[in-house]
Amino acid sequence: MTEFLYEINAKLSDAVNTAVRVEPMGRNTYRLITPFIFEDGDGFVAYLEKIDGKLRFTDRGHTIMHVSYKVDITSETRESILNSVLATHDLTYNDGEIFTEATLEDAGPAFWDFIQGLIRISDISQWKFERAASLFFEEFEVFMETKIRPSVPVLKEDWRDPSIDESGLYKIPWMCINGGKPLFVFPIQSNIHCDQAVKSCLKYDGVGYEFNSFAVFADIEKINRRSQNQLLDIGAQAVTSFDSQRKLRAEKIIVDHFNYLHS
Amino acid sequence: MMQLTDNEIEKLISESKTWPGRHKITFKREAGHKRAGKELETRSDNRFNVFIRQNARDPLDFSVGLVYMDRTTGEKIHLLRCNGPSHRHPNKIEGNDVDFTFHVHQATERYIIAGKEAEGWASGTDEYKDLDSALAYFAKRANIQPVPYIKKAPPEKPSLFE
Repeated sequence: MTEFLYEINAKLSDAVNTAVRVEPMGRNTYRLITPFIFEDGDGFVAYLEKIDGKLRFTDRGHTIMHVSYKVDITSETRESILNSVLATHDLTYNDGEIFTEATLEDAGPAFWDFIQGLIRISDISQWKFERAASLFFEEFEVFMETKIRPSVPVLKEDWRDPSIDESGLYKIPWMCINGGKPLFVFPIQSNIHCDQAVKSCLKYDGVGYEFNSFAVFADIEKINRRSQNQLLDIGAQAVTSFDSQRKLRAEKIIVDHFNYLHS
Repeated sequence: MMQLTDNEIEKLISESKTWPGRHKITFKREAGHKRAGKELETRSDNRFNVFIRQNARDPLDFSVGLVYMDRTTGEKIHLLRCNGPSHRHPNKIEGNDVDFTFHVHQATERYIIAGKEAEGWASGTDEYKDLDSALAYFAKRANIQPVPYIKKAPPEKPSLFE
């Protein structure tokens, strides 16, 4: 084994705390054999290339292609997942390929980030979740624009009162005023959305701002009990589902709620 | 997950299926790979899809898969998948490895029962050597007619020497 192979092998294995095999595949290319696998058992595709004195870890476009066997990787879903993973792990995306570059000294941490990024991107449940979330929010926006906007004089998306929320950490997804107290509307697809709604309500409530709140769950069954209770405890009314079967009923409840509050 | 026995899986794979329309594959390019798909026709009420992927950077990094969809629940299961040799495949239950060779995934009852991906089992094959021959093998294995192709249409009848 050459000195380089010995050194890189040790660095990569140390970085991910498991044995990594480095196999020369040509003058400047090495195949990396790791124990990391997709959910269907197929191993990750990972190569190390030496380019202009730098080391480049690349999946050669396999990861995204593999994910596409089971989920729709097109459009905004891909962007949403990739942007978050690439930013967290300092990776680059180019036409399906995910890669990162490093010096020999930094090879260990760069490889760790590379593998963590592939693990996150290959998580099929995340893609399904993001897709479902994206569809829910698209559907909800259409609903607010077509059913609610014509009935209320003021409807704002991602609203905040700068005197209360200077940094924009507690934005209200939809705020409607039709005389009386403002109505904060929270579309909720995950525990994170639910917890964020609670934080936003507490922020405004804490400074004595008067408002009513309304939560629209994509499916309340998928939200953990603690998050649900916190939101309902602060007085938010709620629609428990916005799926296609119960959407019409949910729309009626929301519209009636607006009419009732502002009649 | 959909519960299927090995017998039911084999029946679904070998059920007669028709490839509708042109059987020369036309690809779309997306995110560094070529992709194509087709919903198959059957005489039964069963619903099947085929997907084809090929890495634009590595023609031997490909996959051809047969997906069965349950009409009532909409749940999908990957019954069969022919892969290139771009990666290794450890079989989780058996504890053995398919090492960088052409391999075929097949759904199995034991993987379903174990709560793993149905098509988690794979075995090495020398039945094909590129995407075109993989498609021909896949069509034969999944009983699809006419046989779809990418470059050259397969003969309608076997040659005298086959």
